[in-house]
Amino acid sequence: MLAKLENVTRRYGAKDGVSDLNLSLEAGQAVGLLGLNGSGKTTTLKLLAGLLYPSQGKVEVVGKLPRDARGQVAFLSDSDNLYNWLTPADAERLMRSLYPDFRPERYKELLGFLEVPIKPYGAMSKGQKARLRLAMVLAREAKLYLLDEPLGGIDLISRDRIMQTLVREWREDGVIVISTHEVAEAEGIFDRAVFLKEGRLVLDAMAEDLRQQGKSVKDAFLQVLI
Amino acid sequence: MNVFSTLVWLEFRKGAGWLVALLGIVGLALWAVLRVQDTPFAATPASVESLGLRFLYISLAATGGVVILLLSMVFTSRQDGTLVLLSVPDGSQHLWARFAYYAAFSALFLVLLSVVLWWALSRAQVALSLGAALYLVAYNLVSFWLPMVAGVLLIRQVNLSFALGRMAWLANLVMLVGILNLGGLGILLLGNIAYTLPALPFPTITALGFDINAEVGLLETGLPLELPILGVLTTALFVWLAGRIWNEVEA
Amino acid sequence: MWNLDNEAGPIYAQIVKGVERMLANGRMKPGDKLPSARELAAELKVNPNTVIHAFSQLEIAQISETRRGLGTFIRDDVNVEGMKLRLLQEAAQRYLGEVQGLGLTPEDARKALSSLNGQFKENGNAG
Repeated sequence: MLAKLENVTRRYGAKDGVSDLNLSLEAGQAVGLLGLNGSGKTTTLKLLAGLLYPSQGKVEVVGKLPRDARGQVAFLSDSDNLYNWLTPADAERLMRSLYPDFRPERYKELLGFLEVPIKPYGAMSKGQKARLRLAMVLAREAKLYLLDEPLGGIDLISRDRIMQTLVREWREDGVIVISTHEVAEAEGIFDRAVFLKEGRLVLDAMAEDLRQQGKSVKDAFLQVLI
Repeated sequence: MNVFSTLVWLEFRKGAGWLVALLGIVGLALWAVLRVQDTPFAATPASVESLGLRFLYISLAATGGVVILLLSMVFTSRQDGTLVLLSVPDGSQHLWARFAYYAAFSALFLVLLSVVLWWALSRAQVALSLGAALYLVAYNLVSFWLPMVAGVLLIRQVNLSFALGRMAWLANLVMLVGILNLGGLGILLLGNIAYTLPALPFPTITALGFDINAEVGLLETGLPLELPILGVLTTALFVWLAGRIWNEVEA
Repeated sequence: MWNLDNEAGPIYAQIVKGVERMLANGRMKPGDKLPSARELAAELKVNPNTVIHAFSQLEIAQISETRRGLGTFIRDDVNVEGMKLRLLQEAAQRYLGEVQGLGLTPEDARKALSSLNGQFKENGNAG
C-alpha cells in the first residue's frame, strides 16, 4: 500500500472539507477522483501532498508523513500561475536543481510528445501551458502523482494529448491520482473511480467492475451525485 | 547546479530591472557630486554649502535606492503566489536565497554610494582612509541595513502567505509598528549591555587637520560590538520566521 | 477499427471481442504480432491494466501467446473458421432476441433476412 487516508476529516471553520475519509492507494493504479466543485477533491489531494494537515485522522504516504515523503510525491495544482518569462529551458533548469528525481531526458521527450512550443510561458496558449506543466511534473520519478484538474478548461486536442501521455506514463510501482470533471472523456484511463460528494466518499469502485454491471463511470457519477 | 544558486537565479529572473536603476542612481550621484564647485575646502560659507550639497545628493541617491528596492520587492510579489508544484526544498532555502539576492545588491549599492561620499568628504579635507570608510559602512550594513531588508522580506512574506485582502493595510501597519518597537527594545537593550564585549575601534577621522576623535571625546570608546551582533541575530530571526511562514502556507 | 464504448460493458472484454472480430474478417491473421499493452493502451487511451487484462484473457482462450523477448502474437493454430461461426452464432442470438422482443416469429426473421439478400456483398461485408 502506497498511501492512505484513515478516518480523515479536514475542517474549514464550521464546514468540513472532507469528513471521515478512508482511502488506500495501491501501486500500479490510476485513480480518478471525481466529484463536483467543492466536493473535497482538491482537499484530498492537498492532504496527500502534505499541503494541508488533517483536523482528525491520519495520512500516510510510503509509510511516512506526507511532509517527509515529499521527495516522492509529485503534485500539480490546478493553478496555471507560473512565471510569465519561464521558457521550457528555464523550467528544466529549475526542476533539475530543485528535484533530485527529475529526469531531463524524459522531460525533453515529453515536451516533444506534448508539442510544447519554445516560448515564454506568458506567450503560450492555455493548452500549451497545461502541457508544459504536465511535462514538468511527469518528468519526475515519483511514487505518487497527484494531478488536480489537469484537463480543466483546455482545448480538445491538448486534452487528448494529455490523456495519451498519462497512459504512457503509467508505472507499475507508482500511483497516479487525477481529479477531473471530464469524466466521460477520461474514464478509460482510470482503473478505479473514487466519488466524493460534499466531502464524503460515496463510491469507490474499479471501473471495469462498474462496466460489468452495465454502467459506465460516467453513469455511476451521475447516479451517485443526484 | 545547486539549490541555492538556482533559487538566487530565480530571484534574478523574476526582476532585475531594479539593479539597472540602482546603477543609474550611483552614476547620477557621482555626476552630481562632481559637478558641485570643486575648490579646496576652506571654512567659508561657499565651501560649506558645496559640501552640504554633496551630502544632499548622496542622501537623495540613497533614499532613491531604498525606494527602488522596496518597489522591486513589491512588484515581484505578484510572481510569487499560488504554488503550482510542490517544493522539495524547504521554505528557509527559498527565503535565504531571496534575502541573499536583495541584501547583496542593495549593500553593494550602498557601498558604492559611500565611496562617492568618502571622496566628497576627502575633497572637504575630512580625511579618512578608504579602508576605514568601508569598515564603517560594513558596521552600519550589518547593524541596520541587513535587519531592515530581512524585516521587509518578512512583512512581504506575511502578505503573500496569508492573502490578507482588505485588512492588509492594518496588518502591515501593525507589523511595522511591531518591528519599530522591536528596534526600540533593541536600543534599550543596547544601552544596558553595550561595551560589555570588547569594543571595535573607531577609525581616525581628521577634519581640516584636527583629529575629530581627540576633539569629541566620546568617540574614543569605540563602536559597540553588540550592535552588529544584534543585527546578525535579528536578520537571522526575520529570515527564519519568513521561511517558516512560507512553509506553512506556500509549501 | 476499435470501437470502444464505455457503456457497452468492461473494456477488456470489448478489446477481446475486437481482436476476435479482426481475426474473423481477416484484418488480423494467425501469427500476427499484437502491439504491446502500453502501445495499444496509448492508442486507445485506456489504462494499460485494462489491456493487460484483455491480453491475459486472449491467452486463456488460446487465441494469443507470449513469446519471450518478442512480444504477444496470435497463435498460428487459431481456429479462425470456428471463431467466425461462433461470432455469427452470437450475432444470430442477438437478432433473434430482437425479433422476439418485437413479438415476432423466426419465420418473420427469415423473411426479413431474405429481403436483404440483394444488399449482401460478395466478400462478406454487409451492405
